[in-house]
Amino acid sequence: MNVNVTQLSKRYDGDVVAVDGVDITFPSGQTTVIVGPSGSGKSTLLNLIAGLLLPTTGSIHFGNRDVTRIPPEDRNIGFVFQSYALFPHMTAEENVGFGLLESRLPASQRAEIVESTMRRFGIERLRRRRPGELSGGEKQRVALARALARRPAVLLLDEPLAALDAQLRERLRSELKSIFASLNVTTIHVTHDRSEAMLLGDSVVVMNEGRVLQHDTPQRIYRQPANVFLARFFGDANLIEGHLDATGRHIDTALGSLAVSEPGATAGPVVAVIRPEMLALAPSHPDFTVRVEHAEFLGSRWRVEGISERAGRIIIDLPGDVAIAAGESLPLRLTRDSVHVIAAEDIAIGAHHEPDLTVTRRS
Amino acid sequence: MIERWGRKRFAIGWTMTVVIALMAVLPPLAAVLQAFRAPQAEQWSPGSFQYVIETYGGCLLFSLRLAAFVALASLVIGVPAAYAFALHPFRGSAAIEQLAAVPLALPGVSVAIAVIVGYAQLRGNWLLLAGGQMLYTVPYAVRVVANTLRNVPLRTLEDVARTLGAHGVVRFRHVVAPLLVRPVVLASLIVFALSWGEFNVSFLLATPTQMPIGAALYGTYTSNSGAVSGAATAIFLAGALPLLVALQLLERRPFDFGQGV
Repeated sequence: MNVNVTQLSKRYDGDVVAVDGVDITFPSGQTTVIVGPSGSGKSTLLNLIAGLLLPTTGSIHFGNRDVTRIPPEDRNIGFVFQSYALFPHMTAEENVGFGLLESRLPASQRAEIVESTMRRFGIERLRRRRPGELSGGEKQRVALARALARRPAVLLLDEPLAALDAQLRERLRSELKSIFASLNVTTIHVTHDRSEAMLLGDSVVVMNEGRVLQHDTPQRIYRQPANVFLARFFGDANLIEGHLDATGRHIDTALGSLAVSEPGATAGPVVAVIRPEMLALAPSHPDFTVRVEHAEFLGSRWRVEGISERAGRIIIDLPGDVAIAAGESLPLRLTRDSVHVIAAEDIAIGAHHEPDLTVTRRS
Repeated sequence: MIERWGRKRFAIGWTMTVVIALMAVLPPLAAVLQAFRAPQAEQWSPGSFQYVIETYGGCLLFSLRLAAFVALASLVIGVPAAYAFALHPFRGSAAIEQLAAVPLALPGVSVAIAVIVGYAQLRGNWLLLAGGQMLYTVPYAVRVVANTLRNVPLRTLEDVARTLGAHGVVRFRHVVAPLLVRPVVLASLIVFALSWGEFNVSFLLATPTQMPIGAALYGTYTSNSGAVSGAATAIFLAGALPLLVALQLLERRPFDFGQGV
């Protein structure tokens, strides 16, 4: 079932706006990841959808059912909290079966569901253990199993991997991906981790200051960010200022004339988004050269920071099998035929959140 | 160097532990053993115990009943108050919580006299004695329960239960009540032990027919032989020690409320 939020707002004490007029449709059976920096309103939005908070204005529909004022216990949701919040006085098995206590199912059937859910998450051997006897990863699995045992219509996850160490987080991400794919439940997953959002989301909602900045596939948000904030939030980006010509097909930049990947913007000042991997070494016909200031060897690739006389500071990702040293001059070319541009009215959005943000001006 | 400092710290720690343990154990031990310093005719014998039980048995029973009542009444008042202070604080709740602890800072004699003056019409009624003790025990009950609840993410756990479809009764029965059991048992043991060993209020408000063991113990020291007072002290400690052991056992096994409960 779709989950629709319409003009949803949450204000505290009249002044603080946590969620500001949000409209989103979460498609049925798909995983939507809400991502944003701390204080962007993403967890508040999740709590509103869960019913743990009441909105100041707006509505929430699960399918055709208006659940805006319905308490969480009557929404048929599963919620995984960041801290897992397992019941400390219950065993793992009792935790997983908790959501079935009020079901009218016979005890034997409830036990079967608990058993099969625990087996699905590979935690059947932890049956008799209490939360204090479980590792972080085991707690996370029990929390997920508990949320899913009652077969909720909507699954909500509030940074479920945030409390884990990096290695375990990496492993559980992939597990979550396959679990989500097999569930066919409308899943809304909140995280501040961009790579987690890109890996897990069929679609991604980026929020900042209580508003939705972009709702799209991870690929489109990465390749075609709607504004400067998004361009910087999803990975590194070289933001090159330019001027879009009257045809809307070309921009004049410090790196030369570049084709625009989605023509149609109004002529005038724009910013071209050039990701570090969109640049490559071109010894024979370089578009421009960069003097290497700093180079980090990351195994499969180099992360290079350099200065272009024409375009200023440039970040480049190059293959790891070449030799690069600080001070040398690199001949570079753009590997794409066209670039994404951010229109003038969207340049300023979010730019003030990144103090180190530099938009390279035309020379 | 580090190893030597480690050994030194270990030795200091051990010494301090032994000193504190002796400070705690020696006074009651001395009281019990004083019987051995008495003249031959007055020394310990099973007869001393029999005498204490026959003479002060009523006091022991009265103390048991009084401590049970004080524990129950303190919990009836203290648990809801602690729940409100810890989980649903309101404007001024912190001040009220602090104010409730004021009797703990006052000399017991002053509190007892204040109770006598304030509730003169209840003079001779055991409720006055219970009320006087509760001025001490309720703040303890509130403190113990509130402190535990502040360390339990009870609201989050209630929220979890709600998202899992649990309505009020199921939430209370399966989540709130089990988590309250431990602090409530802890508070009741502390309050019971406090009432059992309370002296100031008991001494001033006791009547010959309603005398708690704390006040009676004083009577044995002033009017009975060393053997009898030693036996009375031993019987008094026999009542308090199981409570203290139970407290230790309860505090040794807390729930894991750390990251990722």
